[in-house]
Amino acid sequence: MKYLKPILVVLLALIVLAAPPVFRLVYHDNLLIGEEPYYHARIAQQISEDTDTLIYDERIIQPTLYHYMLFASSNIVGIENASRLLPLLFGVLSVVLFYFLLRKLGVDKEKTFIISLLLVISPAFIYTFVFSTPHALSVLIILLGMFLISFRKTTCTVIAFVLFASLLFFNTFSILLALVILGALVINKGKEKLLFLFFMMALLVASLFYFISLNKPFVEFSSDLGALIGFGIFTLVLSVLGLLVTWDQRSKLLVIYSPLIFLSAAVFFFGSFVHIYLNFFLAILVGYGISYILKRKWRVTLIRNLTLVILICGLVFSAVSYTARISGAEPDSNIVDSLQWLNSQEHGTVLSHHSNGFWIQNIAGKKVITDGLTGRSERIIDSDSIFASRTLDNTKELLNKYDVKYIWIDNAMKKGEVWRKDKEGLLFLFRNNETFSRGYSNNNIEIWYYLT
Amino acid sequence: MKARREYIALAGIFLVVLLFRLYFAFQTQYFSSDAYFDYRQVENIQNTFLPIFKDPLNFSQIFFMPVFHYILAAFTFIAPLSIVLKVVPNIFASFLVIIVYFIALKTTNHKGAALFSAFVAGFIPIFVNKTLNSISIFSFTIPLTFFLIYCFMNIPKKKFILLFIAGTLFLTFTHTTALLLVLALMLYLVLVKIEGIKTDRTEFELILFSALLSLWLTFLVFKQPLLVHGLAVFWQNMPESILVSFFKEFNILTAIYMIGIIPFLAGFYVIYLYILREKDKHIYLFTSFALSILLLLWLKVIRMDIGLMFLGVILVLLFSRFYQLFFVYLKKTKVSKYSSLFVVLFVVLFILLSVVPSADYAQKAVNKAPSEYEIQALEWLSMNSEEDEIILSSPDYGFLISTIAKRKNIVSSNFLLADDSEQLYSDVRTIYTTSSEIEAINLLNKYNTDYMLLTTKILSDYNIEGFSYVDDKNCFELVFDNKDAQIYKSLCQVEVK
Repeated sequence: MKYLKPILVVLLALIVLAAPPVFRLVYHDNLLIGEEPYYHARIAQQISEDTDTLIYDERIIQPTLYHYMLFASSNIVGIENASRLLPLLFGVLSVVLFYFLLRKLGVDKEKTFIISLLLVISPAFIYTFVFSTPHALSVLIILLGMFLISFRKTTCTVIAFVLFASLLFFNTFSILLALVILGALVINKGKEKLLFLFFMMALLVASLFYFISLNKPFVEFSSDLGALIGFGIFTLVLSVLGLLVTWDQRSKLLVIYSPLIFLSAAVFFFGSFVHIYLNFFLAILVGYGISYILKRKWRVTLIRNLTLVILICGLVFSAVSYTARISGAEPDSNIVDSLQWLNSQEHGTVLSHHSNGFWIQNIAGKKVITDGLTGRSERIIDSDSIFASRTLDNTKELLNKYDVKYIWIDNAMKKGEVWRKDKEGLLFLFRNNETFSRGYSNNNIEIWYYLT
Repeated sequence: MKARREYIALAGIFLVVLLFRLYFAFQTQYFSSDAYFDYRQVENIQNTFLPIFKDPLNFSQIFFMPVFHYILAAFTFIAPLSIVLKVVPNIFASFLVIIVYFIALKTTNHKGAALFSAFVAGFIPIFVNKTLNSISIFSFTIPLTFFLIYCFMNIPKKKFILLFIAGTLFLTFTHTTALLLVLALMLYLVLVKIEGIKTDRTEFELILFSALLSLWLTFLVFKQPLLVHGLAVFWQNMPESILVSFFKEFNILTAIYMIGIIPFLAGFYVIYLYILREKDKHIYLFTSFALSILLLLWLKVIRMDIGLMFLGVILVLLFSRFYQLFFVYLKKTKVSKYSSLFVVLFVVLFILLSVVPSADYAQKAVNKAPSEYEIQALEWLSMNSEEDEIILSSPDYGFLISTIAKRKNIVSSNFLLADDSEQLYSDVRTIYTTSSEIEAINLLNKYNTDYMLLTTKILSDYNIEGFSYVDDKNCFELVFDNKDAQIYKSLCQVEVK
């Protein structure tokens, strides 16, 4: 059967991407996973509004094509189901495009099949198409554009350019990536290819120095070590092997090498979401690495077979482990119950850690001082000061500045996110019952009133 | 007949080493305080066939690999528990002499060198100290690691390939030492490549396989701690003050004394000789192992005592080559007729510089066991307190409290899955050292503490003369007092109005 392999890949993708939502449905009250999906769901629901009023200082809303699609599908299936189904659909389409794109680029059938399977079971792929974020659509657009360009026909190329242009509505990074990929696809001459590659390497080295000079915290890279958007350890090991095996053909594989180098550099500037895109190129290298192991002449067949078994187990384990982890991720019912209680309270601004902002906005419908989109700013500094201060007057001054009415605290904040010890900072001040009063408490959450 | 003489000599060495160990081990009926964690695990496996991960008598969840404990528990079918825990780890540790013999013989092809190295291996002071009376997992993993090295040296014989694969699997499930072996083998590949030494392709394949296997199994077994602590799991989530004492700066004089002066000097001389001039695969294998340990010690990823134990054995193996070279050189000189005298000289030097320090360290290991008075205090707690009551002590006594007193402790020395190890350790330290009664009672209430243990060792560890607030008889009652230990009952609660 001609299309047996791509069908198998699609089936696996469906199973892998459907697993977390299904586990969520069965074991975790069918809640959306993580923080960002709640933000995007809310933006989709408020698509016609210009500003986000649930963040202090208000913020201009810039919906992307993804939000419009989310809004449109929410009219049919509801916002939560749309948040689950849309990424899944994009994931399946992306896998199909990826498969046929590799075939178009001259990768043989066996390698293409292996690479596609590896992609589907990679933690970063699972993140991309389970968590409802615009990256799911951005990846699909880039893959579609690359696929169309590979036909080398004018009509297809024009459509591809239009698609790439639509990335302007996403973020700067997507456009830059598209330009790098276009460059790699368009350059034909050997010398120019090498020059292009050299330029990418120089960019990587420069960004390394930049990263070191700024003393930025190291971006988490491995899902096995706890990263949300990361790679399995065996993926990293095998990709190094793949790099060694394909290094001699780097000029021929410019369309893989140049985005790979660009993305490695981009991680230092843009953050860990770049792993979403890097993952596709690493899957290719991993595929080459595994191919090498399969085709190499081993002295002892037993060792070869055992090595392959371990590699497969290691890769599958990463996927299974990651799926289990995200299926049980927050928010849980304790968090949702507390936020629903908060929703029933009067209007007022909520102080909490910025990572909780999206939940508070979406479920409790309350304004927050900081959320996941708040960069390093006066509000973050003031929030940190409130959390750390043991001087009541200073704390009250800052709380009044932001007109805070509620303080939402979860266990994560008490166990290192904000405080490391009991009675640290604001936790110490809570004993003053003329200023603070606990309004809600369950296993993990406390909500305090600030009594003005 | 001649061949059997060497084996008889080897058996004799094994017995001497074992008897030396057992002589010291049986000077006390107790074990070092950390050993009581293992004691409790083996006891539980003996009774229920299962280890304890969620110990109701421990404040935090425990994480460890129980394979070693199952092995010990198996022996309890033929002997009482306390005898097994005294004897079996020492038997495992003594097997090192046999393994070292065969490795040294393979390296030097010189029976005299092999036998002497075996004898030296039995008296590495740090190894004796750490494995004599502490139910230490290293009594098993160190001989196993070197057995795997012996198997590796015999590649491509099929029997040894299979043994290496099986052994690596077993070692990975037993302890993270497997990663050290893998690192050493990978460094070996690099060294032989640089030196242009030809190796069998099977070696590369086996190293690749064992690297992937160890990596994967380690991630599988340590999944939970890795997710919680990331790479900091190497430091076992220990509070910083304890870390500082474990990851001490590498002190050369201490290292020499703990390893033994002769193997130390001879071993490093051989490394110097072979790195710069001669080319010998086996020596490069040992050298890569030594370099791996030194690297990990420098990075403070492994504890000094663990690193020195491995380094000691490696240097003994390198010493075997030194011994061989020395006597080969001696044969060419005019004093060759006095070679037996030199053997005697080596033996005398070795006894003075390794056996005597080993005896010294063996005695120190015995002295680390709790005293009769401390045991009395713990037994008093077992008989006079309620089952659900909680005992305060320093981390060193944590497992003693759960094993002998059979009561819940606040803190022990296994921090890997503790929710906030820094907080726990800090609070316990504060209770012992604070002069504020309110602060102490607050913290005692926080952990629902009923009794507070104070021993001579705790006084020394915290550099205090006692609890400075226990004069308040309304809140603290001295319920037990002997030469080495006092127990106070905590009576008060702090109320916030």
